[in-house]
Amino acid sequence: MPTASPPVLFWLRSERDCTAVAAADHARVAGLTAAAADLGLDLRTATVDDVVVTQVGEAAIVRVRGDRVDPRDTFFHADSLGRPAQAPDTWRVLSTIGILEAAGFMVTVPAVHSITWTDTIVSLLRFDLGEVRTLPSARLCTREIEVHRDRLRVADWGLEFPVAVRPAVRRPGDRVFIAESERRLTTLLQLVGASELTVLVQPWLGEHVVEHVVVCIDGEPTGLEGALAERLSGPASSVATALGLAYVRVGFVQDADRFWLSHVDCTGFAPDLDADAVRVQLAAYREAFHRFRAAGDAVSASAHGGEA
Amino acid sequence: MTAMRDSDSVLYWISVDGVVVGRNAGGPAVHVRGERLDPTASARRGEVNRDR
Repeated sequence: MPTASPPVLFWLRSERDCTAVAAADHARVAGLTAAAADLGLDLRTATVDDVVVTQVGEAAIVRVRGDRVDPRDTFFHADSLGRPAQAPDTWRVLSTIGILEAAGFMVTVPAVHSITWTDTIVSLLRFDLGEVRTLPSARLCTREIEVHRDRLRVADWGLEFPVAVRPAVRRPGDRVFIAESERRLTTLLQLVGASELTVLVQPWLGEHVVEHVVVCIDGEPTGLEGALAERLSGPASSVATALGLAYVRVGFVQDADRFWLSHVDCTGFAPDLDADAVRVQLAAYREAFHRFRAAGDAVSASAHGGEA
Repeated sequence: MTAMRDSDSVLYWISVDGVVVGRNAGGPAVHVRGERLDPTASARRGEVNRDR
């Protein structure tokens, strides 16, 4: 039976994002909300402090800002929380997502996926895609790096200078630093160590490489044509299918006719997505929710049939 | 580093800052304080070996 109101998608945000006064953030939220409304979704922002879960008898009761919500008409989304400034909120958000799953709600990205796939190194370790190679990388925690200068020996990882140093958790707008020598690398690592930022050290392929991001819906690549589709459809599908999520972005870099897997992103509304891309992501979540609700209805009908 | 070891295995209980994880031409690899662990041997034998 169709619900009278559009499904509600609560976007759980870190207070450090949610209370931002930046006009750009307000415009972004407004844009997402409008796009969701066009697709028949009621997108609302909230923080984990707005969510109260209680157990009454055998049933979990979830309230958001005092209003009881139902898994048949409400689902939840949370962004990746990999930035150091978000650290105080990370566990609160992830544990809340896990609790909501246990309470029978659909979440766009389960807590275990957020934990597992947020750090780029995981996808680089996990996938061996044959002809599309995987970027050689070393992931390095940098606390007290100035004391443990031997923590990373570049040659141990088959890397040669120049190398690229980038945050292990990708965020749009992050800079990539280039180290042309051991001395320069030491300086960079001491700088990032001041904020205890975990980094990846990778080959610097040059300015000329091209980055491709393949959006996969339910494991199927979208938007690829011609030779690029021939090269990347299979690898992108392999990655997205392994994650098993409604919406996954798979990143590759291209140097002439060579391709490397560079990252996998299954979390969050990327700030740099254009309007069409946002609609694709929201529509994927909407369809996944429809399937979730239909599956729940089927189980419910079966249970009632069994009782008859 | 705290390591409780017998003749065949090593159990590390250390800071994450001592662990470097990465991938090179030989595949995934883990280094602890500069020493390479062999995940294949670990998976195969159910123990952690150190490749010196």
